[in-house]
Amino acid sequence: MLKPLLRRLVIGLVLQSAAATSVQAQTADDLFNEGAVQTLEITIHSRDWDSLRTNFTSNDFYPADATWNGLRVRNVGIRSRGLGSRSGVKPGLEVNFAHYSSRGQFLGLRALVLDNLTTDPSMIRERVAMAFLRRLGVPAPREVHANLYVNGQYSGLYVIIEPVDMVFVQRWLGENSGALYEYHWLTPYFATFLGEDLDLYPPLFEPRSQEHRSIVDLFDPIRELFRTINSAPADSFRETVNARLDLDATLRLIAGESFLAEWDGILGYAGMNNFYLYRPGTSAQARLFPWDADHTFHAADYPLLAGAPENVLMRRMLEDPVLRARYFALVLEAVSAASSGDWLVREVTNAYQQIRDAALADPLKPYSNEEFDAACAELLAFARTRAAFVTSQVQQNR
Amino acid sequence: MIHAISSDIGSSTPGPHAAPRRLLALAVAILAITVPASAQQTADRQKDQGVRWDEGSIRFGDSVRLDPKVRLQGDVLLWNDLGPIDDRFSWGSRRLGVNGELFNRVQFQVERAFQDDDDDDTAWRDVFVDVRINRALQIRGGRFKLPFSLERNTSRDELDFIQRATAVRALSPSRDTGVMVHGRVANRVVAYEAGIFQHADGFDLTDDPNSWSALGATLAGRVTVSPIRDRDDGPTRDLEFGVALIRNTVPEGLNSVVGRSFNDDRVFERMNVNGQRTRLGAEGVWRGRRVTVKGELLQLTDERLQQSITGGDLSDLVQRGGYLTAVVRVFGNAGRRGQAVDIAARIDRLTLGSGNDADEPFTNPRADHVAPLAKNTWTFGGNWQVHRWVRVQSNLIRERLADSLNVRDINTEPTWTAVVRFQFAL
Repeated sequence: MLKPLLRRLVIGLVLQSAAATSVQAQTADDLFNEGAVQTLEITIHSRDWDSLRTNFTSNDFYPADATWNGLRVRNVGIRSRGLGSRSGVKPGLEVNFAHYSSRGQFLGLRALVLDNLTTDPSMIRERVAMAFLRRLGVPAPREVHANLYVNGQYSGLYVIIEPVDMVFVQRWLGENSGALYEYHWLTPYFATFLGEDLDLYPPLFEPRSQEHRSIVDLFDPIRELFRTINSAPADSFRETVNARLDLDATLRLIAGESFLAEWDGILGYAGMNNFYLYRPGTSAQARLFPWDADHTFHAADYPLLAGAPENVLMRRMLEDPVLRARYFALVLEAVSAASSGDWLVREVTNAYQQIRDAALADPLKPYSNEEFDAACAELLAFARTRAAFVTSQVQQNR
Repeated sequence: MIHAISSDIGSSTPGPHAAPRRLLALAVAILAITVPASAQQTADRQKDQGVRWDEGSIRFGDSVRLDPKVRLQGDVLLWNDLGPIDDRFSWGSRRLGVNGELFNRVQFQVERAFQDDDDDDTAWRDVFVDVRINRALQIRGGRFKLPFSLERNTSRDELDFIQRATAVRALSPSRDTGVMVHGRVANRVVAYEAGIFQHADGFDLTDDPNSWSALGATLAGRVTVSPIRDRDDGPTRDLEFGVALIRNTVPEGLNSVVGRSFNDDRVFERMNVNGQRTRLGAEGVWRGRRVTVKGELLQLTDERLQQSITGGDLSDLVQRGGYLTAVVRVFGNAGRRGQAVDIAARIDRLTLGSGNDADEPFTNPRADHVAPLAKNTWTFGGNWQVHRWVRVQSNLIRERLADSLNVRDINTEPTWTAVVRFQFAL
């Protein structure tokens, strides 16, 4: 009598254990494994999908289920996202696992960004740029290409991007008790002191954590950071600003972006753009994290110091001999990271070859297959010649 | 006749805000049948044909009475710990209207709101005619409140607090266009109301007329039992119990009702619904010499047919609520509209949930197990009836959200609001 019951119990436990092991084996690293184009499926009520595409300028969330590699996450929130890349045909999406439950997560992640790649004909710029920055030691999001299916229908080639959120901060800095801000470009801003009025800061620096704290708690440190950047005496600039902003990490980020000819980043042509600012809970030294690198690889001969004179922070850092030397050393480190083993050439080539079939099959991309091939060829040319150009720029300016 | 009107209501659905012209047509239709007979009966009794002013009423002989209605309510926000107060003064209500009676048999009311913070956002409020066949049978047609909820059917002038209870505001419908029979039977111990209406949620649903086309009419009914009425001997002056039911259909979409805070902030998410909406209510009132206790329990369930992410049916959305109020007259005569001072306290609660409470809970509008959320409110008040037309109300309100499963990133700390209302009501 007991034997069949016991046997069923043992079999059940074994099966359950096997299933659990299978689920446990999947990690965020597997999701961001660049060795393959991933497949992501979204199941959403047809009315909601129609509404999302019709109202693609809205940030309204819709409930959906997301499936990756056999793992189904129920009741995630998805919304249209992006600025210039917003599209009702091929919507950029945020997949938020915690939107409908504060406990929600997937492989330890609270959200994913699905970049629709509508502003980059090569479709690999963003992924290669972020991989390069990570190689340089800059905390930058992980990215991987994915074929997206919505309600069983192929909806195009996307890049899955790890969002800069408190999970990201924890992974890179080992703590996330501080305040994270997303920078919003409104007008050309070059790290000047905006003024005493704290209300001037929230439109530029949107809190992404601790949103319920007072405006003084959230924005007094931001105001003081930019006051210090602008008013610190030259002989104490390095020490006083470094107390509020990790200057070495900032120089490393700028060196990486400059090597990549990022013309819409910290030293953007129209002011600072595409970054997050984090104030750790355990230190007063803020950190900057890069975001949205689809304007990298602008031109192989894009000047190394483009945007530097206009940006108060960069200009003053370059006026400090120690920081100036450090900056050029970091640029050469970037040159080495790109050239060593032809890393950048290989990365561009591999990414192109990996996604080419999916890119050509993407019926919703807003450019032709010929434009895709040509854009990738331009990136490859950039990868082959940029290091030499940047090295010569260092020699001229150091 | 009633059948004809009902059919018309059920078949044509111009939108949530019915045109006053249609209301007038409905009223005239009822008048056309009933007034000639009534007029003949009452003409013989008319003795005083003069026009006179009688304590707020204009009387034309004994057969016509007009009551001009003016309501001005101004609110001063004394304290609100949600943030800085930009403007302390606001109009609670500005309304103008007229009530009246013709030939002792036909009552009517026309009222227009020029500004109101009520749940009903239409300009024309009560526009109806009520014909009394006899005590047991009266017929009302036009636009008026549905027979559901004691507090909803209490005029704003006479509420014990500045706002109705959260549950009443969320779960009871406001006015609609329809026809209702009502009356008192069993030696006036039992009162009934039964009506058919165009739609029960005009204040709360999409304006898309297409979504209304297939909805059909709303059925509403209410029965109250009053075993003790107007007794002067003994500790109990009035005792009344009642139950009510409303059934209607809601169009597919984010059309669930939502709870709101005193400041009118939405505290519940809109949920996808589709199908039958059923409201159940139970109410009770006990009035003593100086103390009144009243309360209600309300429930609203919405079907969610084909509303899951994959297109299947979801469990019913269930919202429940209720309140308990105690009012003590500390100055003035009981039950009379002279000078008086009352103090009052009310506890009310509104909850959001679903039929499925077993799976993992989520807050999304297509969740099968909707994560429960409750809003608990305490209201303490003082009412000073300065004059029969002038009243001053003060309320201290404590509101708090309860997220029992802790799945929301919301503030569950209590918030306090203090308000004073100055009212002139003729």
